[in-house]
Amino acid sequence: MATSTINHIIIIGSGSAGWLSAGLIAAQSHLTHNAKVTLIESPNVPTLGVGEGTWPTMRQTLKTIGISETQFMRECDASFKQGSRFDGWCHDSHKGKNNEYYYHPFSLPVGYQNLNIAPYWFSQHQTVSFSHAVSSQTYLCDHNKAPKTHLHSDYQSQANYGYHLDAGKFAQLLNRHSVDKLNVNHVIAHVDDVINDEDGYISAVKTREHGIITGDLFIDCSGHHGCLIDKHYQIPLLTQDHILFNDRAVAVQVPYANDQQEIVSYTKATAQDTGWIWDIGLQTRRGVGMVYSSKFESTQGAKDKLISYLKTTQSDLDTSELTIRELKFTPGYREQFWHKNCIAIGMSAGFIEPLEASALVMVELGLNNLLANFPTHRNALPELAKRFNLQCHYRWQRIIDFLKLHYVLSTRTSKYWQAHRAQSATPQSLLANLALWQYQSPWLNDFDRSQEVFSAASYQYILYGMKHLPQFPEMKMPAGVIKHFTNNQQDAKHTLAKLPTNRQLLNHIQKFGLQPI
Amino acid sequence: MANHVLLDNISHKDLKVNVSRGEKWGDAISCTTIFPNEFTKVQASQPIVFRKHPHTGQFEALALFGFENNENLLLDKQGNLTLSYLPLSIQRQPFLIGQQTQYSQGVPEQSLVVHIDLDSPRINKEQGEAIFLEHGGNSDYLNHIAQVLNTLHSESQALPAFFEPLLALNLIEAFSIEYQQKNAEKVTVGGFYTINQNTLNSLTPEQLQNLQQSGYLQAIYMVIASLEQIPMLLSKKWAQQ
Repeated sequence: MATSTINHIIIIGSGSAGWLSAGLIAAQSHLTHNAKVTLIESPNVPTLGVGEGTWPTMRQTLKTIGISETQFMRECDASFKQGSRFDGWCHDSHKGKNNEYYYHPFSLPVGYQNLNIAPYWFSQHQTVSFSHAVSSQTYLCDHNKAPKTHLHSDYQSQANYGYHLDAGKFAQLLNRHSVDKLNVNHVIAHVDDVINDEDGYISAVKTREHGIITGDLFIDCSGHHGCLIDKHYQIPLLTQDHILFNDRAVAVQVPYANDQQEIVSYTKATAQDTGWIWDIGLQTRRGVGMVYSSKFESTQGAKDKLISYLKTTQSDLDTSELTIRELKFTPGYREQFWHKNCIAIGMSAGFIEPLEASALVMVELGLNNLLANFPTHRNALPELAKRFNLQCHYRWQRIIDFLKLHYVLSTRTSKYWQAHRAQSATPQSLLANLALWQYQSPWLNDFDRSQEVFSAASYQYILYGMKHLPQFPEMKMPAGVIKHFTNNQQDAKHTLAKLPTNRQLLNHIQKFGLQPI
Repeated sequence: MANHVLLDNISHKDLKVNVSRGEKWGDAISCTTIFPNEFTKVQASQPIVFRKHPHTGQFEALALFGFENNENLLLDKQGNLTLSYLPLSIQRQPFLIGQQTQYSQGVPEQSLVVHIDLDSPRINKEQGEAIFLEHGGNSDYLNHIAQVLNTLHSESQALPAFFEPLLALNLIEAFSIEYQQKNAEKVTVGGFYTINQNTLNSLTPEQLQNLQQSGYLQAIYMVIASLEQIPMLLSKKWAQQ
């Protein structure tokens, strides 16, 4: 018989999502009235270990959990990420000429707090790219600079940043910290059965090794297995492959040519005829993979494209030694994310594709929502579930719109890209926005929730990075606006001179660490 | 520029070191590194501040003499420096400690050796303390320097252990010194850290006891007391303008 207060939270699953949940919940026991936290890890189920990119939100998340940035970076092979660069997304690549690219940096455009600067850039679009004009961070990316110096403290920044990390090592660090420092109860056991009470709430899970484990709130972090949300409650997955139809990936880990090779501080996404290739620089290796659609590409074809890409980045790379992993996924999200006393977090809730690295941030956002209004009594669950589900639906739809934006603006001509541009494959909400943005620039009112996943700034970076400019009357530039543009260039010059390279700072952190203050 | 070489009793047998303190001997410096065992003596006449070492980013402690590069407000009108306590990092000049790898039966061993800065204005052949005795033995002065260098080495080894509990207890906070020039221009000197007194006052008896037993509590109070020397330095700066 379940109690009516929420005293015991059970997390199923031991990947990044499971341990992030355990860490974030246990570190904020003041919000859960000291509820006990147990994480059940299924033995012999390898975690997927994708999701090597985070958003800047991860800095606050790690701080809240109580892990120092120095420890995190040392133990997770982590490096700094300042945004994404999209290579070849606008036009077909021609042999020997494939240098078209644009950035989506993490820093907001200059003056963003008070001013939409985008319309003032339109008249300059032929001389300077949007992101170079409005974000000095773009120059830092160009020069493989770190977003801070060794005199900055843990988590403090000069330019906004997130991380590239080794997802397996990340889960291990969170595991150790949660168990040793935050009193999370770690149980390794197969979950054989899920037991409902008379109201259909989960009262316990039956495990092979440790018998029955009772709890009040269950968090399903079991990935695409969805052992509670899917197998037990059979909440359907709303597939999205009619909009975003990438459903396969092949991935590989590539060593650096030598210990002097620059560590790139952005995720590089290079368009292919049947998908795109991610390239992520960790401290000791790169993580590279091709995500594609099985309707347009074979596994072998994807592997060939991946290998040929790798050779363009390093001609003497011995690709015969590399192990290529194959991944399958169904793009989609749940009809409900919170049902009764069960909440799906991570891949069990949904996954679309790795573009813009939205997987880990959705874990963070979901947990922050849960904790900000944590149910102390079971009677509060239905209303909180309703709100949580509405919020998550909104977010997934916004993610889909934003990811889709990257494809619909392209002029690439292969069948895959043509299929992406079909009207029937584009959400109405995006079509409506695109119609509006033919005449004006995305701005705050277009996305007015307090916790939007992607802001108007992100839309501007993609639209104008892909040179999708509106019909707009030429605007006279007030002195204040000119000042923003010149300040940005000066700031770029100043920070370029001051900041070490990504690799230099990572080496320094290995040797000396950063200070907590 | 510095010209550091390994000290030896053949090439350097005739050298003397002028141990006077003053501007022309290289003492026009705005700060010097100090260690917790020196705090009690230093706080009587100079502010003690923490900062991050420009190269390593690790915390270190400084005795402050001025607010701008090469500004030593404690020099008198003739440019002489008279300090009631001379920090070890000044006493050691123009010597410094170096490391040498020696092989003992093929196994590398690090040993500490004395280096000398041949470009120091203190070095000459006429005036001051002889480094070596007539037949090549160490002078008392050199023995004293060796002791100073040894102490500095062990103190710098022990320094992370001093900052570690302070950082863990959130006892360190950033601060900057603001002052007004005579021409009304406001100047801010940043990058300093000191003890957060509110945090210190809210420590539990057990935490305080731990700090006391490790000997750090006294050092902490000396840092706080030394901040009273900042207005003293500022008034000297005003007097010079």
